[in-house]
Amino acid sequence: MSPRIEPTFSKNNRIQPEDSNTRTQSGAVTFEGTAGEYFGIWIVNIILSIITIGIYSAWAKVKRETYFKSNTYIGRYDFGYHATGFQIFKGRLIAFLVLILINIFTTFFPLIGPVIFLAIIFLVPLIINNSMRFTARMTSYRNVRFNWSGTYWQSFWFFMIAPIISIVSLGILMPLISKSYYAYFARSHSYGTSQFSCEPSAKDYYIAFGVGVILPVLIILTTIIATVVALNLELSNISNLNIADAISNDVAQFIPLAIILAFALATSVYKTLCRNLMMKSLQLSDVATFDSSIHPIRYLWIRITNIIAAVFTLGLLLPWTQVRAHKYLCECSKFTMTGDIDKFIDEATNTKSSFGEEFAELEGFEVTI
Amino acid sequence: MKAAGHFFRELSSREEEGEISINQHTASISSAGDTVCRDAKILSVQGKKNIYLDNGFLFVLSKPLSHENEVAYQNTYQKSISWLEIFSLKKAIILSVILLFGLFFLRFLLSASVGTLVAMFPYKWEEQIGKNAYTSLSTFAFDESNLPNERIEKIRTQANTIIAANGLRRTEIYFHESDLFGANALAFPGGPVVVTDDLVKLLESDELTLAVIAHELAHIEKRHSLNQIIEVVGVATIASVLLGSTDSLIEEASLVAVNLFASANSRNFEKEADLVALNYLEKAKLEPETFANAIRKLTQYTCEMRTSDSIDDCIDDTETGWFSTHPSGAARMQYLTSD
Repeated sequence: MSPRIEPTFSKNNRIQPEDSNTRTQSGAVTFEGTAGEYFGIWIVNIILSIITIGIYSAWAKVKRETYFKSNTYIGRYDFGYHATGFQIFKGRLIAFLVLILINIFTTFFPLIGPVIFLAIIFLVPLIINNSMRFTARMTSYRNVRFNWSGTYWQSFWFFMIAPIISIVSLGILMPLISKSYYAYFARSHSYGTSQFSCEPSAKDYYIAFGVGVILPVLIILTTIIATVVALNLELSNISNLNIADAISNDVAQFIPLAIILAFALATSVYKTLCRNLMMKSLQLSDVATFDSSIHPIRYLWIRITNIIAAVFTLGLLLPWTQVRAHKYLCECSKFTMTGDIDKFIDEATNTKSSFGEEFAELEGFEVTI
Repeated sequence: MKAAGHFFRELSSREEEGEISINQHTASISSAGDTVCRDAKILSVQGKKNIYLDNGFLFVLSKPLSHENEVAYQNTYQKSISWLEIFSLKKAIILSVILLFGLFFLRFLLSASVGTLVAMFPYKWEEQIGKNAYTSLSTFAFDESNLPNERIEKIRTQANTIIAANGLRRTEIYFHESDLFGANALAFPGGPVVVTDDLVKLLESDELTLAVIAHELAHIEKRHSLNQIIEVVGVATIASVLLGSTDSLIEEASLVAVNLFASANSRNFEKEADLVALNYLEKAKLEPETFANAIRKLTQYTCEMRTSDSIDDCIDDTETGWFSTHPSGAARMQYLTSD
């Protein structure tokens, strides 16, 4: 007797059923994890990490990644995570030892500090590439793993040079650089042997920059200046000058913090808009296209209220905040499959460990979007 | 155990129907009556239904495994962790209490052990760190002093009297012109002490300069830099373990919180150095009041530089900013002049 095949494995089947003739399938990416389930994993991870003075954190990462990936669905299938705790532990141990050595050298031989600094600048793209490759290779969908093929000099340009040019150009070139960076990020990823493609338009990134950075910064800075001016005018009318000055001082000390906060919030909005743009032009072969409709203000609201929730519960609501943010990102991410998803194949790679391979197992330096 | 589902061959995204039979920690897959693979080792079970095998195959069960079936493929250690991970309100409350208690205990342990950790750190290493930091800063922050040599030597001799009278470690006292630091004095870990020309000129009297040097010597003797590093690194580590690095905004918020803690800690060290300096001056048969006078002058100088407040109000302001590394001038005057 042939086994009975269930049409779906999803608890909440929010996708449109597969059309057997055209094999067209579309819907939102779904996340089926719950805060309660993740709370159990999170709290055990933290307690064991503390007890083992951080050693367990490598295995904790595997648990966390596996939980989030195996509950994130595109269509009927979820993602897989294949790193082992020991692989991550080895990478972290090497990074830790290297950091200690650098600190010892720069402390006792400060004159070689600039040489080490220069060496680190040239090593960063290599480390990022290895880390990105590791993360991609450890993630699979329908048994085919992802890959990262960014080159050293491209990463050097995007992670070391381009940010400086963005600042030096006073942000004028930032949208152009963002456009190239997000396209590089997308195209350097592949699903098995099939590369992703991404052709964003510079105009869209300039609009995102105007809406996401210039406008919020102008609004926030104007509000700060107006508040300070209004407060000073009001305080000058208060007869008790001690109170007036005390309030004025209290406000003044938080102005730099408010400015930093304003830029952090603007960055968050801009990054969200850039992610949307990248996803809209993302394509995998002739099989899948993607879309993203994250509302930058709503996402910002989720992140800010998450911080408040985490602070007021001494961190105990962190699992809820992580699930909440991830769920929202998933809900806003759409996919459309029009071709044959069965046709993808992976390339065989030698995953046996060697000293060189251990550096390739460095994780934690990956760049997220 | 036998179960139906779909399977994927090694390196392929092609979905095929099949049946898996699991025996202990190995599995075999068959499809349409034919055996596809036999006795492959189970690498992991993810999401209660994805069974990854060591031959590169993935079998996706049509019905998720029950918890009992899932843990059947785990060792005792994995089973214990799985049991802890299953959510229940009672377990969540107990684990939360354990976690919070553990974090507070860690914080307490850190405070209690900082003294021991600092004591274990060799003086020679600390001195080397201080010398190296001074050498590095000298290249861009310090210029040669314009003060008369006789005056410098006179202050140095009197500073050595304070060191000798209090049995302190021998510390070099350097004088420099510095645009970067302005009127200031700095204590490097394990020494030296650097006094800027602007400070000497501002304080006018050498007795006041000596009082400030006594304060810096107290920082070195109490090893405040090392204490600060160990405490801040410890608190930052606890924060990073608890909060992780899943959201950049949460990371930035925790950084602000750690900075607030570091500033509060620094203010405590400043207060301790102030009070210890009074003892040093007294033992060296110098007037302890000179230190309060030096702080008064410095506070006045700082307040004159600020344009937002009236100078008198600024001088009398006992409130200290949350991010301030030093107590306010008025607060220092309060405890320096009280009996």
